[in-house]
Amino acid sequence: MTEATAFGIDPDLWPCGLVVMNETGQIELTNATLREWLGIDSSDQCQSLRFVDVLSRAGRIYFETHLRPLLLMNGHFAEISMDIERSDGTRFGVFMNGRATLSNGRMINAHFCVFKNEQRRSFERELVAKRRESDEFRSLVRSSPQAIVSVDMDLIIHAWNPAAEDLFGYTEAKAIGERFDSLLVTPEDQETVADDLLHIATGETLRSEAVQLHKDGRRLHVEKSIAAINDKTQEYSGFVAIFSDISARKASEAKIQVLLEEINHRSKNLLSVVQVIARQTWRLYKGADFFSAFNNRIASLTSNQDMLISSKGSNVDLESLAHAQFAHLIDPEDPQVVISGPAVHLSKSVTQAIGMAIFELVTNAAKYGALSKEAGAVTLSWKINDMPSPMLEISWIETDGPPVIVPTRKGFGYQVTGPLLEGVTSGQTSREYATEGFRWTLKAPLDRLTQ
Amino acid sequence: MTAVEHCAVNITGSGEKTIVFLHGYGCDSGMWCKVAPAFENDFRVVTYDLMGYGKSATEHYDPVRYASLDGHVDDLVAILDELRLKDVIAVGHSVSAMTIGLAAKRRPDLIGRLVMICPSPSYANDGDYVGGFEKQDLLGLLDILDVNYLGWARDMAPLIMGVPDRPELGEELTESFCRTDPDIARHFAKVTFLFDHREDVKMITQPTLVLQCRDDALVPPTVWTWLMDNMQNADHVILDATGHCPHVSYPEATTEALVEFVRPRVVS
Repeated sequence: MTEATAFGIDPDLWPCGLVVMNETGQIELTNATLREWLGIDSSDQCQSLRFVDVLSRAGRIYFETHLRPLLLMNGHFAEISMDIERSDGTRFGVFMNGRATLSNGRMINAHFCVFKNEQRRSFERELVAKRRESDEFRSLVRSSPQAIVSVDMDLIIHAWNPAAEDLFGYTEAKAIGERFDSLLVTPEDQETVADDLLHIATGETLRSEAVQLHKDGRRLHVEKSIAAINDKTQEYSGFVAIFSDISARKASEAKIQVLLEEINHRSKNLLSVVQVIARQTWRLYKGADFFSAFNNRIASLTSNQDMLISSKGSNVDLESLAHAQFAHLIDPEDPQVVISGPAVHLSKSVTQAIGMAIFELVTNAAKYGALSKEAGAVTLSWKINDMPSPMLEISWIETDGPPVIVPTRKGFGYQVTGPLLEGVTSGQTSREYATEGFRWTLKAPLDRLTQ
Repeated sequence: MTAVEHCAVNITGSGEKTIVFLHGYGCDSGMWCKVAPAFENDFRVVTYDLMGYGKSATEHYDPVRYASLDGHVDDLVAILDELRLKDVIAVGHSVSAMTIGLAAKRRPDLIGRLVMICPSPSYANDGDYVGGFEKQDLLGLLDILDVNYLGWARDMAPLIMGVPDRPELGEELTESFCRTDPDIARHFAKVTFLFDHREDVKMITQPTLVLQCRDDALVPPTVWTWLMDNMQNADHVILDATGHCPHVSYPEATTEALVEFVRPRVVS
């Protein structure tokens, strides 16, 4: 059979490559067009080749794993893009259709027509590169730990990544198509949206800390960056906003603020304590004696402060703890202060809280209470009530001081002698602004204090 | 959902012994239609679609789980456990020859004997080992998959959009043999062609039949020799067949070799 009769008319005239492959995969027939593309002169030379030999190596895998099974099972394939490889290793791109002649499930032979598509191929490669690029970009946005939201000119949300889902609570499906301002912007910030847009439209990138709305109405502290999206003609087409959650940072900033206020309170307190020490010491000592007594009292104040502030507190006897809180002000023999009670060994965990409470009471008494006057006196005593279970009761009684003034605000001192102490000791405190003097008590389960 | 449902397991035939067929890269369990029926008289015959292919529940294709063959090994083990099958004969084509090998190593109780059709433990050349391909050839396959995805997308578009007045398009879909999600095909291509299982193959102790085609563009004779030299307990048979899918193109010869191997041995 000649090639001409096999194709019905002269196959060499056809502007596409034609190949017949036999059952075993050998090339049986080729037309001149294909041979010319391959740079092969004679059809005999072609017949010594397998069909896969004219494909690129990757193409062979594709042919054997996809196309040959398709020919056998379906009888045909179409529009497959392939690389054909010449014997010198150079290649050209083709589109290929194939059809098998089957008999009882066996392939007698297969016919392929091959269209060179070099020009289309470069376009195709570009499409593939674009697709890969956009795939990569998409996975980048999806994996971003920062919430990324893109918004069009009419403020409609177009993209919403998983981090945005996590941060704001809306699913991608819910967020897309919604208005950016109604979803995320708080009522008080509504007006600033238009301003922001004006700025970014000029090419500026806005970076700021902001408060945005969560789905459940919560306000989120975020850091946001907003920049314009320009289309290919550099026309403004919307903006992209990137948010990161800074609520943890905001919380720690708030904590630092509380600490600063506490430090401020304590330093002012200490300074007024120092003033009181100076005044009281001056009453008893003069000249060189004053400096030595004053130094001793300041040193005693410092060591007590160290003990109270240090979190490493140790088991301490209540009586020595109480004495330590007065030491900077009062000589041990001074009749102004009476400290008495049975031996109680406080556990580490409560030493600091009880010591600070007594120190606070001493400071207040020295500034405004009984210890601010020579005639005034303080009794700090404690006892243990055994019924129904052992309770320690500490009481602070001031007498003969100036008229008692009920404080108008509850400051840090109130916290230290009240709620904070109750929390640590599981106890209860009470205070009484009696005319004869201020009184204060703590009742707490003994086992909580001495464990 | 069980692994049996996930992978669209199909059970036919009856017999004390079970044969499980695993299709290779690129197609689905339909590839066994000319071979598997020959065993239905004497065996329980199990075929299924690898996750991501054919009628498997492709929505469960997790690129992390299936980033190596281990995910497919997990599926095979789960299917055999769910069906309470032990000591089966596992037949794996191409990449699945490695899957059944890994499963046989992990759970020797499940797999008693293996048939590997056109196996290659590693396609990439590596020093003295001639797998037949350079790494860039194998990466080139990903390019081919990508460009042909463009074509497929156009083919599939009318189906996806739904064209009820053109039933021939629906027919085309049911005929979609070998078609799969392009992203999955790409992902599985990497798992199939870029991994090296040479060390795993050496560990298989069960009796194994290795079937090769005399002319297979994917598996050159150097690979046969390597397998003969390195497998512990394997018979090697070279079929007078070409291509990489003898069970599709030469089903009689393939069946004959399989029957010879699975026929109960006469105890002397």
